[in-house]
Amino acid sequence: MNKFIQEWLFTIVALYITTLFISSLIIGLTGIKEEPYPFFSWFVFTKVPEKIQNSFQINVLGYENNFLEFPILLDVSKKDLIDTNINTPEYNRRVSLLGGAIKERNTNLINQYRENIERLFINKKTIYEVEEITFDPIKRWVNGEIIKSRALEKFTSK
Amino acid sequence: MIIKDHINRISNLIFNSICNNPEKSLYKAIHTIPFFYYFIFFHAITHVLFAWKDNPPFAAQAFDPIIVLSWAKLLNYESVVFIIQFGFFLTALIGAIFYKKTIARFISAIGLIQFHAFLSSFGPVEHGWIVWMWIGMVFIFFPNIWHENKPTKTDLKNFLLIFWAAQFILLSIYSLAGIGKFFGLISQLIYSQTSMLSIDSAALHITDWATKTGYSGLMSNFIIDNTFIGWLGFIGIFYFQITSIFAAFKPSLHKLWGVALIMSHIAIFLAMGIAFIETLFLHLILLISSPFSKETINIKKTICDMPILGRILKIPIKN
Repeated sequence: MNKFIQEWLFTIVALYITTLFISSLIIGLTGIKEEPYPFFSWFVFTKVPEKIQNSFQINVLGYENNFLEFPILLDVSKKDLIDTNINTPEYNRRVSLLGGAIKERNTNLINQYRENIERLFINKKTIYEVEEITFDPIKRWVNGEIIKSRALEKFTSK
Repeated sequence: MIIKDHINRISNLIFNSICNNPEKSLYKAIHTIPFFYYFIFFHAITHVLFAWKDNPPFAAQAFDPIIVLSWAKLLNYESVVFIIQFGFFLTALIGAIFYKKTIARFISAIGLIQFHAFLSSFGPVEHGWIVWMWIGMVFIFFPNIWHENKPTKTDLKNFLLIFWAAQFILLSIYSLAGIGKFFGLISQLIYSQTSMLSIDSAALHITDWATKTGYSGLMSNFIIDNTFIGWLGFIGIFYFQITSIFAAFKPSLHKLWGVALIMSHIAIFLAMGIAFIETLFLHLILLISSPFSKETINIKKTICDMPILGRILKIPIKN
């Protein structure tokens, strides 16, 4: 057995490391979203985000029958107005879904995504609107600048 | 048999190119390997056994055991967390004390596999400990020559090649990251999109990441205000990533690549708040403490051996 392992050891190891490398490369190049365990593609930050991007955001217009002087973004309003527990990636994903459903005028999905957002992120009766925005991410970071915005629809949470 | 012969031929080529003094390399490797198991044990105590005591890191609702953790479906979540905590601690302890025994390294690898499987059972495959798991599995196969004064040539070669295989695994993941960025670059150039060649590329990555995740780094603002510096850093990281796999075959580059990749991680942490703490220690063990590189660094040789840059810089240095 020892002699067998001695002779075949590096062959086994070489096949192992080659399999790891080639599997990871194939997963990365084919763009498989959910990498099969135990492989990982390491294809991270492969593309530079676009200079001009479109996205959606939720503005709080009022709460508990009080209208705000200026709308406030829902995901930053938690400290001031709304008792929420926002997980940013999850929040952004759900707002994108709602915005997409509104643009497609899919009433069923609008109701579903809206119900999810209100259940997860809003604890008071809130008047809010979903807005589509176009922005340069760098300028938005520096001074909050948005190139263009368009209100899509207004809701009142239950 | 033919495959085996070819691989043996390749293994001899690799061994002869990376190892000038096998006995000295063996000595260094034998004294470096225990730190692999010491770090796992340290992490098992500080970040798992103690840190998870009252607050397991993940929500029970999101737990979906992958196939390697199928036994977890028979138990409640709290029991699984308990088993993983103590199982990882015990297997890490066995590995740290008895790493010279094949069975102990095997047990440690099982602990790593189960620990990593747990971390990967909440969505995507976890990619901080995956490299430790892959290397832990390779380390099982070290020949038992820890105490021998005159090991056979075959055992000596196999021992060092396994260490080298661990270096290859570590460096290959960075090359994969670089290859991904290279294909991303080509794709974006073809479609006339903003690419890595744009001076704003680092700043765009930072702001996009911050917008999507809420995470940013201590130096995010500085890089966004000074996009050219950020871009230089980004290109530097890309260079060291994509050429990493070549460094595996050049012992003169091991220390430099270890330092460069650690600095890359620190730069990414400062820019984007992303930490890869586990991987930093692997660079220390496998690259900066590489048993194949010389103790004293020859700066000229190191620079001349650098892929691409070495060829460009060779002429002025030789003159």
